[in-house]
Amino acid sequence: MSARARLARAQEELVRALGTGAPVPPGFDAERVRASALALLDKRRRLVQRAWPGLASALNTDFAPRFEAWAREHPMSVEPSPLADGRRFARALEAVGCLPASLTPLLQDFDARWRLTGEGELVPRRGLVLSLARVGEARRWRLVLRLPGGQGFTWWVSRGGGDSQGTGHRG
Amino acid sequence: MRTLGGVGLGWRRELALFIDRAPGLGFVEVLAEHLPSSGRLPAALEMLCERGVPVVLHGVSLGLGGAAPPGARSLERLARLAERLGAVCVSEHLAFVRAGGLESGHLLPVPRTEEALEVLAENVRMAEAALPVPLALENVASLFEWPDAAFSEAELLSGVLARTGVSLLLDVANLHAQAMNHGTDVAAVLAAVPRERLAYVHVAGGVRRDGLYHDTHAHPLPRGPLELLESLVARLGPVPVMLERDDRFPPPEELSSELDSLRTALTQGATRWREART
Repeated sequence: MSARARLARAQEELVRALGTGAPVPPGFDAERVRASALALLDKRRRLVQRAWPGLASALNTDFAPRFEAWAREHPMSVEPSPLADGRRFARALEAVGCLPASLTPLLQDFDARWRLTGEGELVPRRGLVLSLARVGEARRWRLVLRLPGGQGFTWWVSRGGGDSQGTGHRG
Repeated sequence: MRTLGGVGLGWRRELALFIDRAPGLGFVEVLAEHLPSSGRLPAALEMLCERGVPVVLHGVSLGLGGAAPPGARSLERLARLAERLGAVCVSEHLAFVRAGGLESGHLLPVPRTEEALEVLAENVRMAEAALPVPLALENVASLFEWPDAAFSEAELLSGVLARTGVSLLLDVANLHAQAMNHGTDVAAVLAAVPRERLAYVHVAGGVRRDGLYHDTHAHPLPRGPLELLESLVARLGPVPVMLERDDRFPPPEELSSELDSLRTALTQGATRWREART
């Protein structure tokens, strides 16, 4: 085995222990490695909290334990981006029905600007974006139109009633 | 090459106004990962460049201590950014950040073995060849160490300097953390830094928690790093030095006072340096 291959194996064992809670490789001070893993998780959570203040406040005291549980299962596989990390976390919450309905508009606006790739990277959307989302249990829909260049429009639509109202913004 | 001087500060969006108004700032350091790959640079940063404030481009994701060679795309991106900013140099870390397809999100220490040092040196030479400006490498702090180290931290730094053309970015806060957490011989590390190979110095705050020192860049500056800075200057004479603050940004007067404490340490170290020469 080459020097690079040996180093790759040793580094991978350590990164798995730090990121996923895999066993600490022999010879290391296990307590110190675990302290380091906790510090890394804490840093990842704080960065997502800062990038997604609305998500953190909607989940309130659930945010930290839920994020940390998810993060341990989902180590970062692409270059770390708190925006992408937070969006993947929100998607995971949605999949298990734990995403607060109040976040739908925030995520809809975000998704009108960014696309999450299969690898988990964020790519800015170009061109025309049209998106329709149902907000909460009430029969209210939110329509978002984003023009090439970034100008955005939002309409709220209630089924059965003509209370359609629109707002426009740039960004 | 243009050289750095005086007391600087790490450029962050939250500090842009402070930096714009700060009198006599020697230089700023900009995080490569916070800048767009294409399109416009932040306006406040463009203004600083136009004013002629020297800029260093600082990367955290190259992972030069990793088993894999540095990514060609990452190096190209750094090279382009360095050119756009007119950067004096690019700095990165003596660390690895990813392995086996996983990102650690952190700067992890490299094993202190001959084999790992060889791989590191090869990666560093590749990075040097790909960058349009000189490369400086920073010592990192870690809560744990690799087992079976074949040499000391000081010898690791000397080894990299001997095998490559890079300069050092000596982080005295990281050195302080290593001394607190692992009993690293700080005098040996300071003695391993030749003046002509020292690009600049980092100072930052941290906090002691559960018996371990954490280099957070989010807490007030303790005495330890300042004392190391003074000792370094007493040995080498005045060096460019900057403060890193990444979180829990303090009010302007507190930040100014921390920059002043850097200036004081510089002055006191320089006095000792001059006295020793006469």
